[in-house]
Amino acid sequence: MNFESSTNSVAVSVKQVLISVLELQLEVSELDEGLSLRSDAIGMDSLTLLHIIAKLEQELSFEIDDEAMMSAKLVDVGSLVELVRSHVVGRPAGNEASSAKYEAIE
Amino acid sequence: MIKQLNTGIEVPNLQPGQVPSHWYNVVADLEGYVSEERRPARQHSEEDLRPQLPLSIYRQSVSSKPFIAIPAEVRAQYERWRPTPLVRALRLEQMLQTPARIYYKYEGASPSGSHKLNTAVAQAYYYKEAGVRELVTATGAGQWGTALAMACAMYDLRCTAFMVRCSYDQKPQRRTLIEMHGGRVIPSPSRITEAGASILADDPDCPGSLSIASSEAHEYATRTAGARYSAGSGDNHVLLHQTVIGQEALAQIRSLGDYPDVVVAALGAGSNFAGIAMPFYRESRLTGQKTELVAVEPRACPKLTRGIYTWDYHDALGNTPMSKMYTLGHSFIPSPIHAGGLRYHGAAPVLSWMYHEGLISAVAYGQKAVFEAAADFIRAEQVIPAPESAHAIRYVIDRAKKARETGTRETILFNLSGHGLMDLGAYQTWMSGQLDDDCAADADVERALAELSRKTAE
Repeated sequence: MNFESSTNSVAVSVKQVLISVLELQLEVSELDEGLSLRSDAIGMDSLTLLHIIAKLEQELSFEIDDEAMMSAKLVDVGSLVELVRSHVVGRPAGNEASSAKYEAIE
Repeated sequence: MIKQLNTGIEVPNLQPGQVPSHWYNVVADLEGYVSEERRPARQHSEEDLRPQLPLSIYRQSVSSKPFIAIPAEVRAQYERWRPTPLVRALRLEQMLQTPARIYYKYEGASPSGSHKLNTAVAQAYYYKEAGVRELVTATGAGQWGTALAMACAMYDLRCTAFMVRCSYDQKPQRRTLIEMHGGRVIPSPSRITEAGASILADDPDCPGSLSIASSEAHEYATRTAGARYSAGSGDNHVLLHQTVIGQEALAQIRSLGDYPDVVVAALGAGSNFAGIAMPFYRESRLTGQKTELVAVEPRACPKLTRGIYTWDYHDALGNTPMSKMYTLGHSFIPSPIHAGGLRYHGAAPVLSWMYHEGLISAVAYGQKAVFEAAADFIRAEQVIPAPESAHAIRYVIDRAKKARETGTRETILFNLSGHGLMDLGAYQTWMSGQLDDDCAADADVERALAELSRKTAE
């Protein structure tokens, strides 16, 4: 699978999980990446976010480290797709863990 | 083996290398229980999507694996004081003239004085790994606040504890202890949060409750850069971390050729009860050897024996997600009994489910009867129990007396979850005959449950 199709498949997977977990009455193609995660239409809280990430980790066989998750600035569906994509398609090499790698958490 | 000085009985002395290597996850053995089932919190601010839990801890809380490895660094910390002693209470048996054999697992031996350090250390480790700089929490009598302050000091984290006001006033030395370990203590309700200010606006003399302190701690953690909320009980991962207690007790009592017919512990939200009881639940499933699991709660806050099993918030103002639990209603404020650690409106969701399924049982006592039992225990065993732990002792003594009447040679194991050396003021009050015997008023319970119905209907 080439880079572009990997990226697209990640986006589809993220949207499918969002729709399933949040019980959205939407098709994947209808879920706009610009939709805010804090909107009434999405209605997500921080625990649900962790639940979605944990589910995606299992489905896409990747793992986000705690610091990356804690410092992630997630605003809309697109930012969630990007977070997952960066860990699936562009997997970090090795286990180098440096707090300098991430912005200080807020 | 070592010989107990006060009884001459040989007791198992596990070595530090025998600290469990894994936590036991009871969720894996509960057919039909859904750990992720939850109703999302209402959103109030842009910061609401910031995870309050490290992802590692979240994975633990929803895992289907029966055993989860304890990180080497956390286990190394545990080895500073674990395994904790399993003690045969022979002098108590002799005092009661009972054929029952009574054992207690003494968690008061930890550096913080209670079982709370088992999860505090684990949580501080994971939060530090996640880049968090400060942990914020709610504490009742102060055992959890003490443990978290100590754990934060181990990992160079700041610690802020909202302490229930009536306990803050009753136990000034507990505040000192938290501050000596580098923590900051704020009496709750306070005016530094909107949650606290709203409570004080309605009731300036509010004695506070753990659910109010939780509301304040959540709000403070949400708005403070680098800070996250840490829970001392109730959540699945907290119960998980505490199972080192029961795993050790299982090995210790087995090495004596004995096995409990009943395991008893006090229940606030459920961490010390789950800690000692859940490994025995697993053993019952594996071996068929039945052990009763009995939770003991205060009559002033009887969520299992008088609450209802429904969806409720974890905090007083309804700003947290809802879980299904036995609850008296999140707005219920218990009377200011001395067992401040048991003054929480709801039982842990997993324990609530187990109680609903008949897998555990519960009893409730007033605090006078509890202190009377504590006094008997002190005379016999010369150990001062925390008022919370003394609830278990009340049941144990009653059970041992019944065993004497029926000639039942049974084995009773209870968790002595903490020492009471910071609670001597409470014992002084009892000795002077000024201890109130409180029972949750029907009207207060009905009002809080009606408030819950109204809020969930909105």
